[in-house]
Amino acid sequence: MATETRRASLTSALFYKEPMAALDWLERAFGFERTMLLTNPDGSLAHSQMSFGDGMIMVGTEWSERHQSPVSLDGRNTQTIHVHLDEDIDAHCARARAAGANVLAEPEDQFYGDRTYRCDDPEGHIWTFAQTLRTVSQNEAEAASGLKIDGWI
Amino acid sequence: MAEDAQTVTISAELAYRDPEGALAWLTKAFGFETRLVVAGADGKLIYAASGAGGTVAAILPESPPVLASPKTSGASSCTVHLRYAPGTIDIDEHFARAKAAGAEVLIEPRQEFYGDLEYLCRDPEGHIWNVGLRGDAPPGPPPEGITVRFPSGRPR
Repeated sequence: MATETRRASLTSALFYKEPMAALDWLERAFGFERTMLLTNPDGSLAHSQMSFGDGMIMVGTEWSERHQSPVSLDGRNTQTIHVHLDEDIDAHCARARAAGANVLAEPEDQFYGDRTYRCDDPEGHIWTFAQTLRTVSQNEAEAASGLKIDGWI
Repeated sequence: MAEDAQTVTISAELAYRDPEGALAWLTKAFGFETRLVVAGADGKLIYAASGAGGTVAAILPESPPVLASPKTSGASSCTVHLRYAPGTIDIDEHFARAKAAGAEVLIEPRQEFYGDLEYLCRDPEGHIWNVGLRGDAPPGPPPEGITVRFPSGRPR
């Protein structure tokens, strides 16, 4: 598979009713770090960015009826966030759980070579964490899963 | 994962009622390339990945009750910011292509104070895409009344 020079990035922006509390919680539970805060004249949060390794997310408010926290959508997520960990996913899960994360899927090895867990945060945003334990070829993955796989990444 | 997998630390996974339709639209509108499609024995798509410029997003079917298309939920809990490195695309051409493919325009291409040239649109299922071209010049001051802080130091 040809390696493509990364000339684009895709960053998720999540909406919260309580974005400042979300920043605190994401730092405590997941080890994210707030890197940029934009505040309005009244001191409320307009926009923020967090980093984790070379990854980034944006945290914002329910600033229109089209931009709502899962809490306002009966728990529905229109996107979930996938985070790649370089090490110790089980410790990461323990830390998240200790901070109050609701673990939806316990750490488990997957057929495609990653060990993953899933949880949601205090406003119901769903997060999947994955640590690659071994490389797996497309053929191996198909054989192990019984699924039909076109392409491979 | 492949041996030469380009791992992106944080990535988006978008839910669609019609993920196959979404893959086709992302190719038509944004020039995305479908990189992976996983289907069950019944032929139903369970996971796909598509992207451009070395970045990729996961395209998933809905999974009630917690994973829903904006078409179902009526709003987005999360949006995506697609950003291109300086000089890699023409934002007006990118916008024209998306618009021609049926993207619902929310904000036409304009220069933001931080230097990006960006536009905002909605795809056929209501996912909101903020598409931009990074600027070369340092960012300008924020609008009146807005305060910017960099708690960990100004980013590179």
